[in-house]
Amino acid sequence: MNLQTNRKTAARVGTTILTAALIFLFLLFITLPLISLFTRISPADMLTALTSPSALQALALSAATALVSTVIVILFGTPLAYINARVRYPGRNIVDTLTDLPIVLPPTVAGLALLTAFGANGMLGQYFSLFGIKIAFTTVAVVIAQIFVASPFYIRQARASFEAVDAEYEYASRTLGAGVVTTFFRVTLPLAAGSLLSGIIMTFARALGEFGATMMFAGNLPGKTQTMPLAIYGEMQSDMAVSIALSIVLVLFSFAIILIVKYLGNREAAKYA
Amino acid sequence: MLNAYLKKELRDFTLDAELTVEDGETLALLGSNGAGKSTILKLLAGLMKPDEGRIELGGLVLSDTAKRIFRPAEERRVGYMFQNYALFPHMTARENISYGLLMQKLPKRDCALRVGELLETLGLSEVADEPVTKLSGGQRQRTALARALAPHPALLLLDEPLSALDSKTQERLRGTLAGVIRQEEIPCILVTHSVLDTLSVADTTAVLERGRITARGTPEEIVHNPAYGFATAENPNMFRGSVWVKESGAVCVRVGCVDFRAVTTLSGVVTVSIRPEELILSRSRLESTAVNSFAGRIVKIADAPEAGTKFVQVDIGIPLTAAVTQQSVERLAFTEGERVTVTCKATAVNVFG
Repeated sequence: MNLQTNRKTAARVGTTILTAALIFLFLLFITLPLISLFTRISPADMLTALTSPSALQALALSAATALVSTVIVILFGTPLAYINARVRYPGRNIVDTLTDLPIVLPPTVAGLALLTAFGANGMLGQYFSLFGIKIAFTTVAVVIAQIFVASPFYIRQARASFEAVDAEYEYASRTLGAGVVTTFFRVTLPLAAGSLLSGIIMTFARALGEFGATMMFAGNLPGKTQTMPLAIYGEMQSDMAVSIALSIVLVLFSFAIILIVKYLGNREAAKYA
Repeated sequence: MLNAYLKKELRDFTLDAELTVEDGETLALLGSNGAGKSTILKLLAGLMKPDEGRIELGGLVLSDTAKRIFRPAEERRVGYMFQNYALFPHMTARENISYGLLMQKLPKRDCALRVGELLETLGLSEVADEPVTKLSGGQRQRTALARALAPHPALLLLDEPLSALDSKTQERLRGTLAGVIRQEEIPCILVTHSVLDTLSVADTTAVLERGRITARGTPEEIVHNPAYGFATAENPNMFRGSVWVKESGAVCVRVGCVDFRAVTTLSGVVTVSIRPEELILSRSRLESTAVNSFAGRIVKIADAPEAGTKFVQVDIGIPLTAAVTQQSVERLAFTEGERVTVTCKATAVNVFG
């Protein structure tokens, strides 16, 4: 073996080691904090913490509000996503950008914006106040904040799901006597279902994790607006165990969500191939 | 009867076509890719709006821009078979075929009866409950045809119905398609660029070039008119004929006044194709095992697509074209107007359903 091939082999081995080291360090960086969460609490303590009134309240409120906001997002987001997937109209890109905006917007900005709109003296809020309707710092505000922040996750995915359904299937359905709405429910929706479900799950997860906008617009009122992320923040001073227990629940839940979404994606890809 | 006048601005040209198709008539729209064939079908089906035009089907106005009438696709009773079939992938063959009947709110029993009958006719009974994604190309094609026919449409549109199949399956299904269409007493438009499809399925043919119909006639007239170059593109020797059996038991295909001996199990109206390379030209009648031998006159000698070969067209009652090498033409000193004999074997006469 001559010097040059030796050098090449050495370089190759060096690259492999470096790559492996980088990957290992990064995975460690992600997992170490998560693992350390688990080391701070025993299973028994965790159970007690989770069954404490404040934890249970937060869990129930989170589940309920995230569910409601997800349903509302589906109801309002589906027609928009479908139209944007199928119809070319002037200003479509603007509409698309607008619906995507909350993804990159800092949640505090979202919270402030919502306050200026729906707060007691807000653009819309002042009129609601006339009728004695209060939105800010109520459970409704929690839902509004979640919708605002989580909707792009559904709308983006839904648009892509509808685009992936060949328009020719819809044409075929129409020529066979099915109207636009029947076609949507009998052909488009079943074909997009798997992919839509991924979007729904992601939206629910994002709503569940919403913190910043809720904090600013809904406040941190136990039983009323204190969802899990807010409870984690609020209980840190008084009962660390509750914070850690709720955090662990969220870590496990998020991990499961992403796994499910990945599985759904793979199954979808294989289904009609 | 279908009467349509359609005008639509497309990217490269303006589609401007007038069509009339009688009940029970099949019109083949022949043309190259991007000539506007599929657009015409989409306009007729109501999947696209014309800039200007009028469509009348069986006395019913489907669309009239002057009167601002536009019936949506679901109210037109148009059977549309898409090029790639567009079968609903989340359904079985039976569910696909039932779909149109379901939309008509037909009683379940009548629906099942009609679907069963179609499955039977098209040989799909055994795979009826398979998801369409599991079907073979030919089975999908037949499912798509059955789905388009199931709700008894008033107009049948076929977009390249055979092009997605391999040539063996095409050959098998061409006859099925022609048979099924002939049974329907409705206007039918077939979009294709295949000469073989045109000859075997169509009653009339229209040539579409850059959005305009430039010629109309019988399939034979169009296909053999050198001006359109269809015959030379695939094979100059394509004819429609009918099979008959001589007293001696020999199977013949009659094309015009000429009888070709052929090997086939088909009967009735067929398409005949003879490769120009299979034809032998001679000054006098050859004594050989080849059973087809016809006397005729050389009409034209022209360059063949392949270098060093000539196409010699001989009129034997029908125009028959032989591919001969340049050397042979020179050696035998063939000239236009001269009398020659054309010879080929029975197996060289290809017969399609």
